[in-house]
Amino acid sequence: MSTYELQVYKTGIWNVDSYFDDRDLALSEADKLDLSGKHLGVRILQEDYDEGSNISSCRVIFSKMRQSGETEDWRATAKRSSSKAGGAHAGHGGDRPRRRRQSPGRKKKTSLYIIFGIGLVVVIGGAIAMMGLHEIAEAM
Amino acid sequence: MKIVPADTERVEVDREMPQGMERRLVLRLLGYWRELCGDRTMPARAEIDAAAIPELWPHCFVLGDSGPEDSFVFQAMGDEIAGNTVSALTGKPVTDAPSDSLPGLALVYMDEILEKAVPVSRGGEYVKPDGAKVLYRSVLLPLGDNDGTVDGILGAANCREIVKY
Repeated sequence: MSTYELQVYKTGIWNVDSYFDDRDLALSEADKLDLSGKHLGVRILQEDYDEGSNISSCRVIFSKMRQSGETEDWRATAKRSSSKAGGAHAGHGGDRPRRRRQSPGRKKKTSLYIIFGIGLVVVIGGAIAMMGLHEIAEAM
Repeated sequence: MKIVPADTERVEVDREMPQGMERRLVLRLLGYWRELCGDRTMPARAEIDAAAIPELWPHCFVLGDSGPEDSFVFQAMGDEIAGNTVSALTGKPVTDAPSDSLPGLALVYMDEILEKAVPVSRGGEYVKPDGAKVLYRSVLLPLGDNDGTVDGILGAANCREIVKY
């Protein structure tokens, strides 16, 4: 079961504008609000509720912010923010905390450590197995 | 042309509204509500004018808290949605709306409107007494003073029946 919460950005925070249970309706209305030029930002949060586990999860499925009078896609904003110190949209009160992304260099290093660790385990395991077999052979 | 198996279930939509009409009702009424709002969080109940939305009004209704102990009653109702109930609801409390009628289904989430004071649109399906399956779409829009207190609701709902062979 999904609910779509349409939010608009004004006075420095995101405010709930309306709720829908139909994704297309929510997207149509978000587009309309964005094109109206009345709001600095428009976004849709999709909330999925699992009755079995009683857990609901939330994610942004649409987000547009206005900068210098022009509409800007949130992905373009995020890319620019990550290359600038402080970010263009710092100070969004009420905005959801972003997860820190690992830099590509750090990701490579982590993979190497993992490969090395696995290799070490295989070598040590193999040596122990060989010693065990040797002892069994001697006993026989 | 693809030949479908003989046991394929045929589902025909009967009395279907013009394509996109169902959804447009919700969005168009929401647009009208936003126009009345202006910079406010919601328009006043007295500002709702049926003459300003002649194509939408037949599917609309207005609730006001003029009942006993500020309970909500139907203050006005369009012909189409009124025809969906057996007895007239204008002047009656919302609790009188049958649960299997369009107004009744639309008001299932009325408490959500009163609590959140923002528009809410829901849809679903129900089965009529004759067994016909009906899809419906509704929207509830809060009305009230500028202080955020909801003392009225502008609602709309329409439906389409699915006929199975």
